[in-house]
Amino acid sequence: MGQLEDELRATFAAAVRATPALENAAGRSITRAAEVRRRRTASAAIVAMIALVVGGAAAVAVRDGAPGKGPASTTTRPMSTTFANGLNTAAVPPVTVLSANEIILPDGQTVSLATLPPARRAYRTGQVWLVETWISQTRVFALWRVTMTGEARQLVEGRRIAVSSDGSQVAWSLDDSVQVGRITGDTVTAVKQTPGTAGFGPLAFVAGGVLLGRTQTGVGIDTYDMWFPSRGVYTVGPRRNETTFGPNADGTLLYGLDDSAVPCLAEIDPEKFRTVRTACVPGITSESTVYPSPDGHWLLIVGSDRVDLYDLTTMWTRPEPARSWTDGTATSVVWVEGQTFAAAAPSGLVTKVAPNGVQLGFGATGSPVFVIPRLS
Amino acid sequence: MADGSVEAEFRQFVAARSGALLRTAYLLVGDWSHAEDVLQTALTKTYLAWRRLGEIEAVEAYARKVLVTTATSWWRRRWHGERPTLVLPDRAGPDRISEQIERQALWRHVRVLPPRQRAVLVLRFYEDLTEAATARVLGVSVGTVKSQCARALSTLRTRLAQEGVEPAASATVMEKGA
Repeated sequence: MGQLEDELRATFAAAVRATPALENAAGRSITRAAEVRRRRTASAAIVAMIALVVGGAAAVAVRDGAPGKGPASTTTRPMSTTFANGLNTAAVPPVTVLSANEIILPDGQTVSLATLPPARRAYRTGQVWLVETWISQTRVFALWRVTMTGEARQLVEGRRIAVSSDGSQVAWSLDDSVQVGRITGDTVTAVKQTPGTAGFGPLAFVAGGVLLGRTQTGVGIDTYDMWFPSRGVYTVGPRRNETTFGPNADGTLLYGLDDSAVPCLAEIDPEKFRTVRTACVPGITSESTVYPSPDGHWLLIVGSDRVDLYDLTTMWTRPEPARSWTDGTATSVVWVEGQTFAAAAPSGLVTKVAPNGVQLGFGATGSPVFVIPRLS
Repeated sequence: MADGSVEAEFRQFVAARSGALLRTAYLLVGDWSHAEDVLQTALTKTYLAWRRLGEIEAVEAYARKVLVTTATSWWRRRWHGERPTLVLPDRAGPDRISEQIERQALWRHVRVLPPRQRAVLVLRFYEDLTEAATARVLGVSVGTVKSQCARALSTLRTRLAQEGVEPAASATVMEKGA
């Protein structure tokens, strides 16, 4: 057997050494199978029936076999719970989270999203939530506006969706175009579009424009462009092997230069895709996720088994973490209340932490959560 | 078969085999979150087909075939800004940095191979399937498996050479996860 084949075996074995735990895979499969059966039954029945869906906030379109959604009553969770491993902790995380199609507030109040498709993430904006759902079978994303009483209204749907950091704009891709519009109440107005192709879509709002991803190889996003709808400018980015981590607080883009000998972080000017500066911070990899604080002071780099906090005012010249947590990772992180962040562990345990490392509170729902950021 | 019995057997199967299937899914799609989605889809289809599958070996073979089929059509990689937590291949000590860099380079190039070529490599060199078994899973001929494999290895050699990386002569073959 050749040398490359042996190295492939070693590479594959090493790549899967730290396999994440699966949460209730059998239960979810059984639930999804039941949905599939229900849809098949519904599809057969619908041949003989035309359903009229009357417009209005309380009557959203039928999605993925789910019934139309009316106002959902809010409920309150018990304030403590005991898990299977004997851990007794607060059943309510210290920040608002999305868990199992339910929004859970720190005071224990919940808003059910049970009649929506599976919710992947949510944002708080003013007195409403923007909830992003995803139907895996059809690969369709949708953005919903959900009120405090649980009334849901679909705003857009597409192959990919991005929401601006202030919650005022949304970009989404259709099969042949990318659209951007302003969220006004429960409608989207001032829509502009640019041509696109399948697999092409918005990733984030950056510096007054929209970062778009597309593929040239057919195996995932490998090229990033910038579209500035208000100026009618479209900048084609170079094809890179680097990872795009996302927007920085100052309007630049954070790229990972994983073609260098060791992975480094780069700050990129999104107007011209020019590298402004780089820092080879230890621990960052092409699989890391980065979370800059809104004030631009801190940068959290979340890896597979550690979380590092960097001071952005010194990181570019002295790339050493200000603080590291090496005993676990986070599935989602949100900066809250200025320089405090909340991190959700794969188990669903959410911890609220100050940059000095002081834990300000924790709680768990018992299932994976997405910490909901407040957009402003 | 009663629904309760089917469900119990399915739960046993998932408890026993989902870890291994998830690892294969990850190697096929290169992203743990996507791998979970792919696995979930494969398990759902497996559960729907459970009644006509019979013995456990057939179930696992079916699940693996569905997994590979789903993964090879699953070309859209998530943007990194959306991927919350993932795992690096290896964390080596200082004396293994060179080996780790080579392995990372190889893994990076494997990840951008066409899905079918990548699937052939995973089935042959991770699952240790024969060429005939690989052909059955992929639903292609043995000749196609051979040609896809040769093409993938050639591409990897070329790309590694362009980077000045040679597969380590003393590459350690590591144990597969359970």
